[in-house]
Amino acid sequence: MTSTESNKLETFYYDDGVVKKFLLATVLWGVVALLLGVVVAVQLSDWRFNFNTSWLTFGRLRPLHTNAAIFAFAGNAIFAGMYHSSQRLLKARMFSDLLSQIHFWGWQLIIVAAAITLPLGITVSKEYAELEWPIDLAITFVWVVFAVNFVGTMIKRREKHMYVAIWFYIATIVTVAVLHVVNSIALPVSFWKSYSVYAGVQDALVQWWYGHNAVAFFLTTPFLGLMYYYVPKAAGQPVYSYRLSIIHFWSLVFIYIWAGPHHLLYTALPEWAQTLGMVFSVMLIAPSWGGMINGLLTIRGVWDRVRKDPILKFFVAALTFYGMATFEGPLLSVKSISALGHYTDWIIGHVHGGTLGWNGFMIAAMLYYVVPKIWKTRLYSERLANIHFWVGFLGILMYVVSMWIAGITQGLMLRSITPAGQLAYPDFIETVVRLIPLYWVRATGGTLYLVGFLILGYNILRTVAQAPKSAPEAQTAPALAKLNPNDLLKGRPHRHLEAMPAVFTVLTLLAVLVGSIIEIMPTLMAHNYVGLTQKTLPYRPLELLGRDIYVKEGCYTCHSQMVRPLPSEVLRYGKRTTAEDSMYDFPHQWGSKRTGPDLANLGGKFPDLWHYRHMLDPREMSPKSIMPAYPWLAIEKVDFKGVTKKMKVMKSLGVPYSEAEIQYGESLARDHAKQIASQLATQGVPATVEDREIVALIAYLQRLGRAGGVQ
Amino acid sequence: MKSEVLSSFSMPWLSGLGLILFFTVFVGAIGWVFRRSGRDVYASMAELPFSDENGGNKI
Ligand code: HEC
Repeated sequence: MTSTESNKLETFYYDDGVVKKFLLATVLWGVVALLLGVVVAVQLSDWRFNFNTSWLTFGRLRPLHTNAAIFAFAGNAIFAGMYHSSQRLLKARMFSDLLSQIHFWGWQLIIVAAAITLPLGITVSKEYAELEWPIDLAITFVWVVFAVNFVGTMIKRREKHMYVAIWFYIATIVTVAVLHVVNSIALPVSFWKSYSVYAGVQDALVQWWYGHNAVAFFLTTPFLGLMYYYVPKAAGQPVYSYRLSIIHFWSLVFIYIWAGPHHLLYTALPEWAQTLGMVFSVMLIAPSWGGMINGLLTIRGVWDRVRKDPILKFFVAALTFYGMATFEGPLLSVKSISALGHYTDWIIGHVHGGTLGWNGFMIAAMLYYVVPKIWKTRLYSERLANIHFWVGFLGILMYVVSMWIAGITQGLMLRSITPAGQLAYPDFIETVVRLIPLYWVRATGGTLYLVGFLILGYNILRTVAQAPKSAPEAQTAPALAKLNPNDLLKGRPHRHLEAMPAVFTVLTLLAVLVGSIIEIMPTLMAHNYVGLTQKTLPYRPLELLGRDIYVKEGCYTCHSQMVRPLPSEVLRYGKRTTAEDSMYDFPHQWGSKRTGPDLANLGGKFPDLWHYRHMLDPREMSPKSIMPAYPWLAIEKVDFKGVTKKMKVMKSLGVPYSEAEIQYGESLARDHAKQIASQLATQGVPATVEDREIVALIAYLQRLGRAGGVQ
Repeated sequence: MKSEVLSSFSMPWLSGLGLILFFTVFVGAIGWVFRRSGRDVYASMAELPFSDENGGNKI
């Protein structure tokens, strides 16, 4: 270090207590998230595992699984790694112990709130952002606490230079804040119900801008930061190329933010946005592979250790899965491949290659490295860690390969057309039945992965139990010399860039915002729905209530409402979906996975009675169906009273309800329900259903695809 | 396809701007990173994760 005057040595202590808490929380939530994954996997293999119980059905547990995996499991892991490595890289204790504690306990409370509300059907139905607005506010609060704590630590740091891992952390903190706030903006109807301010195509774009970048900035950048810190540590030598890591960082931050629309290829999203998303997604392979190669080459020269050392083994496998997933991602973003793979299990396989392989194994490597270090002991058993590796690895292979086969098989079956121009498999469920054996393979793979993780849990707990009681160790480092502003003007400015967190943060924010604005603004501003070809009426009051039930039950986790302009699709589902179809959908229900058929043009396809019987027991109408039964819909009452408030909120969002419609909303809904119920009564359905949820849901289902209203 | 793109896109200058911005930043970043004088700086930066070991502050 060149600065001379202020080289006074200071003594300080790391806050390892909060790191330990985050580490143990990671293990706990890891078990919960994986267990939930196995449950939903089994539910798809055999519908009986839905137990005919509302809060245990697939539609409600699947969002809980994804939220638990991303925000509870991966979330606690990145916080643990960030608090551990940042204090050491910045040579400073975290800025405020109080803020660290608020961050930890606040985050756990949010997780518990999610675990209670999601099974109760309290959801906004935006994927990976399902939590309702009070919890969203809590997330924002805790995130700001985290950001302040982190920035405070950077300000009081004793290390002038910011190692590249810190850059990745800053990008994470800044971007996740932007994503979360923009995507979650909603108008509350009540404490546990709100409507997104975005509708239809605009909501879809914002949602997948968020969804894709949640993958980028929650599951990628923080983990890359961890990689750049822990892989050199574990290998005992510096990163292969520091230059490459800088290019890796900037190109990732610049490119990732644009790629969201690859989730919406062939949908009603404007064509230019789709093309933009596709091009940037394909470009993403360059920085991703650059990063992977950089990580793998960091282990150069010590490959012999990989065979014995479980930590290096997990790192190498994680990086390899990262490379695989970031090759597959761009591939799936090519329109013609998306046409086949989208909505199928291929995407599920792709995601789990990334999450189980990259995130899960990175977390395992980090736990095996940090836990013994921070508890000042040795890992209880290297052998168990090696067993964990092989069991988990086999689990991932079974998972990913079965989903590849399932996705491609179903994709091909759904699109195959006979020479006579008819669908080769007109009955959707025929294609699902083929996949059931593969679903069992998947469930087995997931179970193996869970078993591996339980072995980790045991190993970690034994390691902690055997740790000696130890007092925190004093650290010493010279205080950081104050930056001299004159240096900035005269000297070499680039050296200071790395030393100036504020400037750096602003640059990152700019990179993210520029991409986001260029991508989202034109679509957000296209209020006039270019070339409006059909008249679109708002939902009638009962239909609106039914739509809320559709949202609450999570039907979007299995059904799409977006017919793509592909021949096989139009043959199967009817007219292609246009932007007008969902222009009053706050938020959209386009869906991302078709475990069941698309519902965009469902209205009028079946009589009310069909739906009534199908919802109570799908097997009655479609014997091989794997859809859960919804018997409680015939028991629970519709919230007729609530409709006035809902319509008012919708009106303030821009839905053209007249004052009279809102005033008489409740009685309009009741009349409509009576009408449906009396029809059903003539066919033997008990007349009591007239105030039950099932009637509202039927009204909504019959409205789908009839934007001009039901005659 | 181009006409379709343009028909639904009201702000073509925006993507042009994005492209130029993107390209400049990217080329700039590469040039900056590979400047000759950077070698030693980056070598010492890469050692940062180890500065808490051996009680030493290597740079
Ligand atoms: C686990 C996935 C799953 C969930 C969750 C699910 N479904 Fe289904 N759904 C299916 C499958 C598979 C089929 C095809 C077999 C059948 O008709 O039952 C289907 C078929 C349907 C059909 C018949 C469509 C047609 O054109 O033949 C309707 C209507 C339907 N579902 C409505 C719903 C509603 C409403 C919900 C939410 C309350 C829901 N589904 C939740 C899987 C699911």
